[in-house]
Amino acid sequence: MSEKVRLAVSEVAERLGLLLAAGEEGLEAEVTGALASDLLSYVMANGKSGQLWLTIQTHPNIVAVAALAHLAGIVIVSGFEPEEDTLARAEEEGMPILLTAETAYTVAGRLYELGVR
Amino acid sequence: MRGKVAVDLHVHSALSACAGEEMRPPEVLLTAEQRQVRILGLVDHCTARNAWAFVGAAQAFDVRVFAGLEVESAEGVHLLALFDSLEAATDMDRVIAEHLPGLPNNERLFGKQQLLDELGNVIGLDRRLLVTATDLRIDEIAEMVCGREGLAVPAHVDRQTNGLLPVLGFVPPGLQVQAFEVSRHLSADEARLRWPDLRGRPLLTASDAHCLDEIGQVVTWISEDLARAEVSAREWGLLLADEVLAAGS
Repeated sequence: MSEKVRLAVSEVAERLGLLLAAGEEGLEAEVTGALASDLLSYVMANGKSGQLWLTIQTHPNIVAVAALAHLAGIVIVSGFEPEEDTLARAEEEGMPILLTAETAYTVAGRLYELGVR
Repeated sequence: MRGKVAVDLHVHSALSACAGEEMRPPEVLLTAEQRQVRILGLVDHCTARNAWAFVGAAQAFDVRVFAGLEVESAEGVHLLALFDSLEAATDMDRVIAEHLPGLPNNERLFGKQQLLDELGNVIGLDRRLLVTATDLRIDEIAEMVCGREGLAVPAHVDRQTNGLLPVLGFVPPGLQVQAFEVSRHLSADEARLRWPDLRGRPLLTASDAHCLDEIGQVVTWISEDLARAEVSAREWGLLLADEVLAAGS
């Protein structure tokens, strides 16, 4: 039987080898789930509190959208690099931005394996 | 440019959350006039509720205003919808309102959305979340614009965020638009080199001004005749497309 585990953003980052780029202040928030989407409007309407967001978008609006939906953090996948003002905004909001070269598909699979469901 | 007139079809007012509060009718129009912009497209994100104030105020300036909206499609693509009549713009605004997600704006995260009068007084706030997508497809929006005799122009088609080509990867066949706006970061030639789909299509440039200083910094040059043409925005767009193509951009 699958078991739901309680993991903080920092633990997820460590277990998946994600690199913290900004928003350290939010690292202790609990990850309650995840979603993968590159449509900001979808995340605005469907993002749920505590979720990690997997995306290839890198512009500053992703931080506003994540804060709006009270997400736990943003994982920028496939090696995309966030813009400078995105990082500055994430610092202001205390919204963790994590980087990885893995695709959204792989990161989602590994999150599921970790028990983030 | 001698004998040519500057057109800036992409200017926001203080009703766009991301635009400065100084984007009020008198200031915007005075700046446009000083920079010899003779035709200005007033577009806010998913609404035309400030258009009447700009059209009214424009009577005191040597600037003609197209009333419009910058609509976001379900795919996340931005499209300028410009009209020569306030009624058509207002009608488009009404329909677009029915296709927004019905979420509230968050002023702290996105900024204020100010409703203004002709003098630039704040007469209210739009509380809806407007910097988001409608549930309409890009082709449906373009068709709605054409049906209202408007001018449809996909905005900043090269931009990673909300630009037609990065988002969709191609120009949908049969899309009813008169021209394509390339952002200030790219020339028309560079855009066509990167996206061969743009070859043979009329490309415009505009400022996408969110603050006063950006107005007229990037424009499209047209003939005096076209600037004076008394036709619908849709027909004007077709003439504009012809001129732009003939000029080789």
